[in-house]
Parts: sequence; structure tokens; C-alpha cells
Amino acid sequence: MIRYVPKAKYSYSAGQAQSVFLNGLKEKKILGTVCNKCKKVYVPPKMYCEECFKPTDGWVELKDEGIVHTAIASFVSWTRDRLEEPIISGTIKLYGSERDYVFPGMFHRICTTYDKVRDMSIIGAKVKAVWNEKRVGSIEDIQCFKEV
Amino acid sequence: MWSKKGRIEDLIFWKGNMEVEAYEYDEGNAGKKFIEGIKEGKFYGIKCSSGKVYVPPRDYCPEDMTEGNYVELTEPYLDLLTEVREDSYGNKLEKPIKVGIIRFLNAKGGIIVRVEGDAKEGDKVKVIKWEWPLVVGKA
Amino acid sequence: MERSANVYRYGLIHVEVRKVRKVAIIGAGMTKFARRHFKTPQELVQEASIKALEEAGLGYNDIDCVVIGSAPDAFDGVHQKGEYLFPAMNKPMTRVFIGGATGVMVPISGYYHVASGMCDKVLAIAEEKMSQARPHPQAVFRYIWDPILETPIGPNLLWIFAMEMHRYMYAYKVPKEDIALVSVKNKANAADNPYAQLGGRITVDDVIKSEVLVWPVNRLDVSPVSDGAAAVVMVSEDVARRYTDTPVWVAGVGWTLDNTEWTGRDLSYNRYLEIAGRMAYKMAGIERPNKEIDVAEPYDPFDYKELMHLEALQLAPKGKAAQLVKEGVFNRDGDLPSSPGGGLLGVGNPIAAAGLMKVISLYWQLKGTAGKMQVKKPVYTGVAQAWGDLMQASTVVVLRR
Ligand SMILES: [Zn+2]
Repeated sequence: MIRYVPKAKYSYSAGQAQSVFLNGLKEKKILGTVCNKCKKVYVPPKMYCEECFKPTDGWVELKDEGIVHTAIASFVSWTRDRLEEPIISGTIKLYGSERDYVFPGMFHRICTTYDKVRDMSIIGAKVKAVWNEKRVGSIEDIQCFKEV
Repeated sequence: MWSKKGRIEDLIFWKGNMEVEAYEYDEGNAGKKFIEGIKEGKFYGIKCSSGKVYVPPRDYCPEDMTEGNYVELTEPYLDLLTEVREDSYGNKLEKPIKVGIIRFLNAKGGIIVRVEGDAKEGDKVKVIKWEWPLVVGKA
Repeated sequence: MERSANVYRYGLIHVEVRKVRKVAIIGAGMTKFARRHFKTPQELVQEASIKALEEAGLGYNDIDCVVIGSAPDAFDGVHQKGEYLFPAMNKPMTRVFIGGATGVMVPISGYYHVASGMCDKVLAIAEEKMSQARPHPQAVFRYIWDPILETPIGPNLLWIFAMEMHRYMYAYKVPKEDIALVSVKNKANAADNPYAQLGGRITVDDVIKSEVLVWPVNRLDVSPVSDGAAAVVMVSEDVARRYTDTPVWVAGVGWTLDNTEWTGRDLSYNRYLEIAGRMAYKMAGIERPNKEIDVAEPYDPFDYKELMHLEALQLAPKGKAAQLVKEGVFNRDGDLPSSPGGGLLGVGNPIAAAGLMKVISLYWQLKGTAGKMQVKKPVYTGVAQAWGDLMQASTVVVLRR
């Protein structure tokens, strides 16, 4: 058996739309782009409307709150080590009605208890972003989404 | 809409690593045979039904996917030679190293080796160190 | 802000099948799926290929073109894995890759190689050797996410399945106990499969009491990590008639890719799979899938996925698949047997190879060579399917004898 340790380092470009989004987080703002033709709102923002295949038309600011679409509690780390305290995360629907198949949504940690994930009471609950004191223009500027 | 907000100085670059702890590669049957051969000071190749010999050996003949027979190969010659002055990360090496590919007459394929001394392309070579990576010099 | 329409273009299948050649599968081969094989990835590929060629009665020199599918290079730990895996020896070769959906994309690609008239005999291969990544193949999945917006939160692959499963449970009020029945069924089916890694008798209780990995996913809700390879030989009609009396025809193919915005999509239903399924059914002339499909091989890396896929493939009403499992509809002796060979849950999940394994299992059923796995009812038409990427890709094949 031959053992090898790869070392690959990257500098990922956030590009124009995501950079504006990340810089917005620094100011406690959740920014999205909107397509005037189909009215679709993109959060995280996109330069192009994927439905209409044309540039999006402008920026909109969304409230830093939404509805929990789904939630999970992870007892394993990314290397599959066992965690004592679960990491709770999920997707948050920022805007739209219950019946929408697509909507502006974010993936993030959710500040709640394991019990509320288990009994599903957190799904469908209203949550609000908890912002970090120190913000640098990263998805981590939001600590989590917490129930209101 | 982009001209106002999309200035270069506003763009963000995110530093990331693609890390895994390690990979563990299995040599497989033919790979084991080849590596054991090196330890014993021998080169093994595989002879197919067409008569062609491949080195390093494989479990199956690549041309028709039938099983072949192991054969020992002798008298390697240096087919390609180059000099390396930087490591994989772009740092200058204190002393350049020579690497090359050795081949065998009547066999397809070759083996990457370190080269010592003043062996030139086309020269017959002998193995100085039977370990990985192989070190060869002029025969 | 104006009310967003968020209308989704839906069900528009622009693909019209014009005059193309008929394509048959005349040989299939697999390695055993195992937690760890000590062969090289290339040797796994060759073992499966040789078996497929043997059944077809062809030698490698008879093959015109090669298709190979493998999931991320990072599993085997070799870049340009397609080229690395198979020495095509100067034959035209194509690698296909569409995440977890790759395994069924392989025969789809093989299909259009032959249907187009470009090749008469195609060797279509899928391989994955997941055991080489340390400390766990799970670590490799970290890099399938958006590196800026998602990876920093620390997700692993189990998370997206858990998120989908929980939304599915919430939307249709399906209890975990009902979902676990799929795992019980498939692992029991796999006990009769000579290639299986994890067949056996387990109970719903075993699943529920197994380790919680990422709630609501327990360890036995998940298919095992595996090494393995699979291959099929796909040929034109005249070649098929010459080499076999029992060809299995590719009646329809369909595949779709949605965008990467899984964070902004209803996770309880795989609409992109419905569209892929409709494309394949349309090509096969199938109007009522739940009546016309005799046996199904839906992709089941997790137990709930089989349910979601049966629903999106129009083989069960939305949210009702678990109820039908309970009633025994999907058992080997049921009205619409599903994963009679054991699926990924029982046979194992070497990603791309697992997808092709689903197609091969269906091929055995249609050919009548499934042995102890053979379903009770006579089978004429079946569907196999895979799914993948960031909850966005689907591939579907309809076979007919
Ligand atoms: Zn639009």
C-alpha cells in the first residue's frame, strides 16, 4: 500500500454578486438580486437569471428573518468523528409562500435544541439571524438563525 | 447594474484548502509482483498472447483483456532524461536532480527513475539502488 | 417588494426522439461490492468488463467505443480518473460524470453512442474505489459544496440527505418507522444477491436503534461505503440478433440537471426526476407508469430516497410510497417489485458502480437470469434510476424485453 498526502490550496473568487452579498453581511444586510422579467429573487444573489437566461436587473434587501424549511442535528463531523453536542443546521426560506417550489433560501446553522429538531417543531418556525459582533464579509458573520 | 457595486476593490477572495488526511493506494496483484521484483533486484513485465510485453506489469493485457504471463526483463536503457531545478511548490532546489525514463528492448512502457552520473539518453544503464524511487547510472 | 412569482418552467421536455437505431444490452458484469478491495481501480474495471464481454460473447477487440463513468476523482485519489481507469487502446472513449447520477448516465451515454449510428458495440463501465481516502470517504464530500457560502458551515454529505429526509417526513407526515421498512426490505433482498456487501435480515427496530448519525438519519438508513465496478455491453439491433436470443432493449432514456440552489428548493419532492422520468417514459411510449412498469430499480443510497424516487417516477402518489411499502406492493412478490436485488442499501454503494448495478439488476430481471432475486410476476418493462450532485441531477433508463 502506498500512502500519499495531497496539499491543494485555493483562493476562490466570490465574483461580483457574491462579493456584494458578503459585503452586505458586514452591514447586517441580506442582499439578493431580482429578475424583472420573471420576478424571481436570488439569495444568494446571481449575476444571471437562470430561468430567463439574462442578467438580473437589480438588488433587493431582504429581512434577516425567515421560516425554517428543514432542520437536522449532526452527531458526526465532516471527517465522521463522533460529536458530543450536535451541530444543528438547515435551510431557511427567506421569502415566499408555503407552496413555492423555489424561493430565496439560505443554508446555515440554527440555534435551537435537539428536542425541537427531533419533534420537528422547529420546521416551519420563524427565525431571525443572530449577527456576530465582529463581521468580516463572510457567511460566518451570521452566527446562526434563532427562533423568534 | 454591476458597474456601481462591482468594483475590483469590493471583490472578495476566499482562501480554502482541499485536505484529506491521506490516501492509501492499493498496488493490486500485478503491482505487488512488480514491487516485490524491485526488492529482489528484478524487473517484471507481462507478456501477452500477441507476444507484446508490457512494463510495469498489469493484471490483464490491455490490448485484449486476457491474462498474460510474468517475464523478467533485463538490460534497461535510458530513453529520456531531464533535469529538475525546482520542487513541486516552485522552490529552487539546492542541487538540481536528474530524472529519466528507462525502457527495455522489445517491451512497451517504461519506469521513471532518478539518474546519477553522466548517463545520456540512449545509454545502457544499471540500477545503483534497488529501492523506490530507483536510482540508475551508466552501465 | 413585489410578490415574487417564482414560477418554475416545468415539464417542458424538448427532446423529440427522431429516427434512431434500436439499442440492446447483451452482457453485464460486476465485481462483488466490498468495504475494501485490494485490487487497483483499473483491475476492478477490468474484472467487471471481462465478465460483461464474456456474457456478450465478444472480445475486447470487437468493441468499437468505450464509455466510462466515475464520481469525483477525489475518491480514488487520482485526477483524470476516466483516463486512468481504462486503457482504451486507441478506441474512442468518453467519460461521463454527473455526481451520484453517473452510474445510470453511463448506459444513457452508451445508448446514444449506438442509437446515433456512430458505434455498433459499446463497452459501458462504472467504477468507484472509495476506501482509499483517509480518514473516511466522507471527508472527500466536503468539497462538493459552494466553497464560500456553504463549506465554512462544515457540512458533510449526510447533511443534505438528512435535510431532504426531514422535509419529506414533515411535508407528508411519514414516520421514521415506515421509512425504515425500505432498509429492511432491501437488505433482505440482498441476502440472495451474490454480489452484495450487506444483505441480511434486520428489523425496523434495528434501524431505529442504530446510531444516530445526523438526525433523522440513523446508521442503518444509509447504504454502506464500498469499492466496486460494473460494466455492460450495448449493441445495435443487428449485432444483438446475431449474438443473443434474449436481448434486453433500451426503450427510453431521460436525464435532467436542476441548478445548484438546493437551499432554495422544496426538498420534499424531486421535480427534476419527474421531468427526467417523463422524458424516458415518453420515449418508451409509456403513459401510465404505475400500470405499465413491471419492476423498478429506484436509486436508494438512503431508505427514504427509494420512496421519494418511486413518487417522482410516478410509481406511487406523492407521500404515499411508504404506505405502499407497508402493504407489500414493492416486495419481490408484490405488484410492483422495487429493488428486488437489494439496491444500494443491501448490495453496497460504490457511487457510479452502484448506479450501473441498478441497471444491471433490472437487466437480469428482464432476461430472467436473476436467480433467487427473480420477481414472482412476469416482467416485460422496467425502470432504473439514479440521482445526485447537490440534490439536482437525475438519470432514468427504461428497459424492455
Ligand atoms: Zn428571470
